[in-house]
Amino acid sequence: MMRDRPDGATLRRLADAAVERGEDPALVTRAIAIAEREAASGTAPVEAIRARLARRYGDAPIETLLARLAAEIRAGACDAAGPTQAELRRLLWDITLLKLAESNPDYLAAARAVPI
Amino acid sequence: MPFDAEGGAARTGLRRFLRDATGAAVAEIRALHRLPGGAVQENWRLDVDFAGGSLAGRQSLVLRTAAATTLGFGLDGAAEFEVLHAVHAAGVAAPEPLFLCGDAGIIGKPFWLMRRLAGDATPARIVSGELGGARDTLIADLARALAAIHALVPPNRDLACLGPAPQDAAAARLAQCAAWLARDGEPHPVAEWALRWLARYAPVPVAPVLCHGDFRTGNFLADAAGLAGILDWEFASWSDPHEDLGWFCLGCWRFGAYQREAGGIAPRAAVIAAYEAASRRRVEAQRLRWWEVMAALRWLVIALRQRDRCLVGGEPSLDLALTGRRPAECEFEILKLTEAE
Repeated sequence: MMRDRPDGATLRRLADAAVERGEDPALVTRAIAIAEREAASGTAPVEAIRARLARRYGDAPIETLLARLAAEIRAGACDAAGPTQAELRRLLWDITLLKLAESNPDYLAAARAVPI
Repeated sequence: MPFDAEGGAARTGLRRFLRDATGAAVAEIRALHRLPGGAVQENWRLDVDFAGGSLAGRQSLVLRTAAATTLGFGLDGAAEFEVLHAVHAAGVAAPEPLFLCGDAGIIGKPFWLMRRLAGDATPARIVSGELGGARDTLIADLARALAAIHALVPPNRDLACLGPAPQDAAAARLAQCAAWLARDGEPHPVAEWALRWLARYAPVPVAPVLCHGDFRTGNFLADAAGLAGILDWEFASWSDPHEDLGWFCLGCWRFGAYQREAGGIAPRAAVIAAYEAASRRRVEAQRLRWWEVMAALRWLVIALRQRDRCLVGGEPSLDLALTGRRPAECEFEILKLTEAE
């Protein structure tokens, strides 16, 4: 999974159950909004990331490629400043921005408004 | 939830416990309902009329007990009770702990009781300025509370529950987060990046102090005048005092007021200045940045565990499930904070 769990479909199901339990309506609204944003994005953004990872690690499912990326970072390949670190950090940023845009776009907008 | 059945065995057991603990002839429960928040522990408002005994009269209490599923780390109820005893005795603004019950037979699980403080912990009300009084007053109150917490140092017999202080709190926290992350079966490349960055730039050890461990907006009560009390002590430990400041300033805890880096309340410089004045300690900018990256990583791994309490443990909570979508916020903070090497 590139997107964090639970995915949109699971969130919809959990939101339905939460309505029956009388949980906070704001949580239900938030869960459905994430599910809708995820559905609207579709598979294209994940496939775009997968294709970039595949150029580095070879063709494989996104889960496998993310595990390769994590292993490469864990092994220290990203420690020293240079082209590898720059490339991997660009990937990390793009994955993160995609996830955050779906999970919490308000946070992303507010955080981006503040200079780093 | 232990008190679903009105007049059930749990209530009867609780009445008996209250009578025995206080020496009251009668302990009549006037109100008992679950308080909002508290994803890790359940908090129940408990209003009681005591006839005689050490708490004679009407008392407003809070009963705290473990949720249906647990995180698997942090202090247990008995240890949290002990920590609250120590900090309350030291004059920290915090609820007064009253009674600990380790007998799971009373309400179905161990619990403890404290006095209920007036005030509200709702982050939106605090960051909007609706609660907490003037922002500089609230920040000064929080800085004083933090300084008072950090004035407790090891060894301390009243805090034996925390175990020995680590020689190197930063290294210990890093190892703990690495172990938590390894338990999650999925790849987390940004968290791996954080682990490497934290290892590269680990600060030299400092003398440890008592740290709250979850010192943030949402975990303190505020009233119209300022701070009413610090809550939720289950993550207390011996650590570097910068850990609490880094956690407090983390972007994830600003609740829609991202530009106010000190908990959504004030600029970062305000809390640093107030803390330095109250504690007579110097805040080191680089050390604070390290602990803020650590805060993002630690919240990320806690969020994964919270998610699993719902998705794996079966606790029916949409709140827990949604926490599984919060690691992206932590990853954003990690990448932002480590942008300049």
